[in-house]
Amino acid sequence: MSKSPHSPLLAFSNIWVHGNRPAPLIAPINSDKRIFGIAINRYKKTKQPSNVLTGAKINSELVLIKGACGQLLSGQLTVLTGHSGSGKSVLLRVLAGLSTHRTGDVWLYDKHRRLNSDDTSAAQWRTKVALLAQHPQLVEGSVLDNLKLPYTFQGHQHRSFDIDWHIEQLTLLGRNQSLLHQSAAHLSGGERQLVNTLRLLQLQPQILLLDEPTAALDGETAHYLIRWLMKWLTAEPQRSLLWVTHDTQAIMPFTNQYWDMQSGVLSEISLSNTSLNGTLF
Amino acid sequence: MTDKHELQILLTHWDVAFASSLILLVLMISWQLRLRLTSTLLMAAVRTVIQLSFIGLILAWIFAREQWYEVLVILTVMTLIAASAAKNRVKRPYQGLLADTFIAVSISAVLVTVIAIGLILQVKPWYTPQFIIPILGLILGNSLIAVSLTSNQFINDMHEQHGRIEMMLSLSATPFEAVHDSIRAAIVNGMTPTLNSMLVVGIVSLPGMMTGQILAGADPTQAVRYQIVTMFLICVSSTLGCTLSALLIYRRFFNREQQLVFPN
Repeated sequence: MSKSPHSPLLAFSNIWVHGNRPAPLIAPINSDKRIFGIAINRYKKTKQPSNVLTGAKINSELVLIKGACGQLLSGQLTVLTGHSGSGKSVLLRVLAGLSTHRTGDVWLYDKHRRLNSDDTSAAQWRTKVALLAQHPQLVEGSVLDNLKLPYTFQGHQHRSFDIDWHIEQLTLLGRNQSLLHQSAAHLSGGERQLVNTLRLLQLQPQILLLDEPTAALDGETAHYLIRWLMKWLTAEPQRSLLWVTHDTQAIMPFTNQYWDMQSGVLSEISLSNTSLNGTLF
Repeated sequence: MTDKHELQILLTHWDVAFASSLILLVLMISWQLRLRLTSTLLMAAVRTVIQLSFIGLILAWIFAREQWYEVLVILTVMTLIAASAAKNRVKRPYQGLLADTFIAVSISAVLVTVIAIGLILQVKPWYTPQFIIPILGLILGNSLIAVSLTSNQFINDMHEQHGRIEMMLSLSATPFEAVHDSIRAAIVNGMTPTLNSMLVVGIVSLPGMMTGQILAGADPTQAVRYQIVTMFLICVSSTLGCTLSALLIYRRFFNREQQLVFPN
């Protein structure tokens, strides 16, 4: 069987995600009320104002994703757009194996095998499907400490840290290698995102899920990052990129597949100027 | 022996009444300087008398217990009260937190009490209320503070640091690796009061128990030995309690798929 240049790497079907039940915040009210000098704390269950994880209103009845299906093909860039709170980030979290309360299947194609996320260990899944969160989370210490962080985990202990790779990538990104020794606390928003991305990509995931990585970047840095990620995508055949963004203009020229999400419903938008490889809906 | 008995000064009601009259002096100062403390001071004084008299009655009643099951009921009630006090100090509780604090407080306190009563003091019979109740009380009191500090800090951290925790999970950290820093910080936080008191004991403060023993006529070297044993018992039970509560809470925040979940 001849191998198509763009084989599926990740597929998901019939994904439903229901809103998390609210975590009740117990807030003391009338805390100055005193009886016989004892401060009486009366506790009242209050609703949490918003769910920070899903970015959606909390309601146990709320459906965040309604039966989404799709495929990510090797060597392709898929762009996902949609309004805030439409469920884009939720979908990324589902694919990354971080979202609870979901039904449906997610498969990963790995060397002729098809792995269902439910039958794969979380650690194994996450080494292959990497999520780059919208807000870069760095730990205390230098940039180097941050880049070395994954190697302190059991799952990566057989790997070794390759500083030359980082220096090379920084050059491609138009940065000086002195960045490595800076304190993570003193980085700009753009630099934090670069460190965050480098830290993730050094682990060589197959699927990279990006949640608005350029949102906090200036035009030039964003441009570098996009070029660099495109280079990453094509450097190996078995890679795929899903990119959530509001600003489609900069990455449209590279886009192979265009998805849009409206209140939890995922749909594909045809790209008239680009050749499409397989419609999946 | 006779010397020792002479050292012991018995307080009469009149002695107590005279000490109470000293409060009047404080009241006068408050009134003169318009500190507006009068009502609070009076309330505090009255409460001191009432609460301590009440606990005196209860202790006298408890110490008269001679059956092991009666003592056991009292010990269980004490542990339950300590667990619920620890739970109530947590700002973001979830269903089942009481069970977690109860397990942490009871295992740590009971284990250490058993060691103290059975191996160190070798009290016979083990349920002699004069020994087991104050010792369990002392250990519970410290254990509950340690457990509540650890639980509160850890649960807050899980809520506030979820971004960092999920970042680590995305980098294929195990849940334990992802929260290791939070667990460590929470246990350190819970242990701080105990460690601080161990560092300054005898220099900055004389512990109340030791002072009381000396005033009641005990040999200071004996009182010191008791205090050293007590400090170590408290230290062990706090460490155990903190660690247990952190591990129990940690289990609640991850599911089988190694995802971060927030218990209601």
